[in-house]
Amino acid sequence: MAVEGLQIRGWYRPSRPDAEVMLQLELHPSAAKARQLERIEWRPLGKHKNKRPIPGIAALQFTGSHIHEFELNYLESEQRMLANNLPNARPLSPDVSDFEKLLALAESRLNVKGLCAGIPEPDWERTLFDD
Amino acid sequence: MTKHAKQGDGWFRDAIDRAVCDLVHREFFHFEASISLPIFYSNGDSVVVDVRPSGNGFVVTDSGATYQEADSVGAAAFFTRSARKWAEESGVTYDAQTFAIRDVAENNLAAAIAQVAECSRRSYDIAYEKLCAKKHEEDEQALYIRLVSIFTEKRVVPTAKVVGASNHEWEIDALVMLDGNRALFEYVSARNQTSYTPVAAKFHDIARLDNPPARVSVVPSFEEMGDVVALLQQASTVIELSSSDNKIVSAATILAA
Repeated sequence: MAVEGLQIRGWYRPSRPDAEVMLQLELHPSAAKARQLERIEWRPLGKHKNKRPIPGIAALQFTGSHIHEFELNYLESEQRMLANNLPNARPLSPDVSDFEKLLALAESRLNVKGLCAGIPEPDWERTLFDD
Repeated sequence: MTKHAKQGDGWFRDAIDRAVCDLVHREFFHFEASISLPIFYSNGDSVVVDVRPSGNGFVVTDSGATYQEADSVGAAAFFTRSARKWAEESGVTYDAQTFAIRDVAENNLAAAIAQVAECSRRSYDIAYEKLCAKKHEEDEQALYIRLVSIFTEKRVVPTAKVVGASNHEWEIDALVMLDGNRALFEYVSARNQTSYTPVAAKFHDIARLDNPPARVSVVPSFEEMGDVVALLQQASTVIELSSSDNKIVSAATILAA
């Protein structure tokens, strides 16, 4: 099924192979404000800090791969997303080891078929010293 | 005596040292260092500043990451404007979607890192606020067009002034002149206090008049507004922006009748 206005946004830094990749699922309805629904951040350079404790997540602040899950950012009682672009996240555990596995995770988490086949590996600027 | 008192102050100093170390995080990649600072975007992610050696000094930059943050919420156009303004005021350059300070001497490195980080966060925050304000303006305009299409232009006054029971003069999004009566329309765009509190305050004040006009709060959707609908309902009729013409007419006349 193709859902109207559903988009995937991706970002990476060419100078940082195998790190700092962001994939975000967004909804752009024709007559309403765009909504971010879920975001995966793979090996980001920065930290993430949740504003308040979330059950099952011990630390408010953490480094490393994490996922801004839809469920953590949706207020069921009020049937709306939290403001400020998915402010809650949980560490990705276990982390994924490479870009291909990241796409596989995104395909299943974001429920978007064809991601693995449709997105090539980024053209990272690798040097002789990189693994 | 508590356990902490018996242990002296070593445990306290250790706890503080660990917390201070957790505030800043750095990662090296060849001749580039990425420094994560205790400055956070509204989505909870920290600001990261990169440092590279250059000539006899250093280049300090955000590597375009702040622009990407703004773009991911649809605020890229606002960001470009706020970034230029804040960069100019902060002594930072903004080119190719990137904040930078060049030729930084080693003794000024910490200050330059803080400067770029602060400039990044401020520019992002302003861009995000403007994005929210733009949506509000668009919806206000859509409401005005709806009201004109229903009541005709000569009966609808945009941004009208109305004096409440306190003698305070309030600005109202739209005033509709009906036969012998008036109806006030206010658009409430978001479920945050800065959006709904002024509307609730002005409608409560106006409702205390001897012969108050009809008051209508218009919201994007009941679902989005949650319990704010009940709050607005205390002093106004609440309808959705997508309501039918009949519903808008009846909201405008129900209390004024």
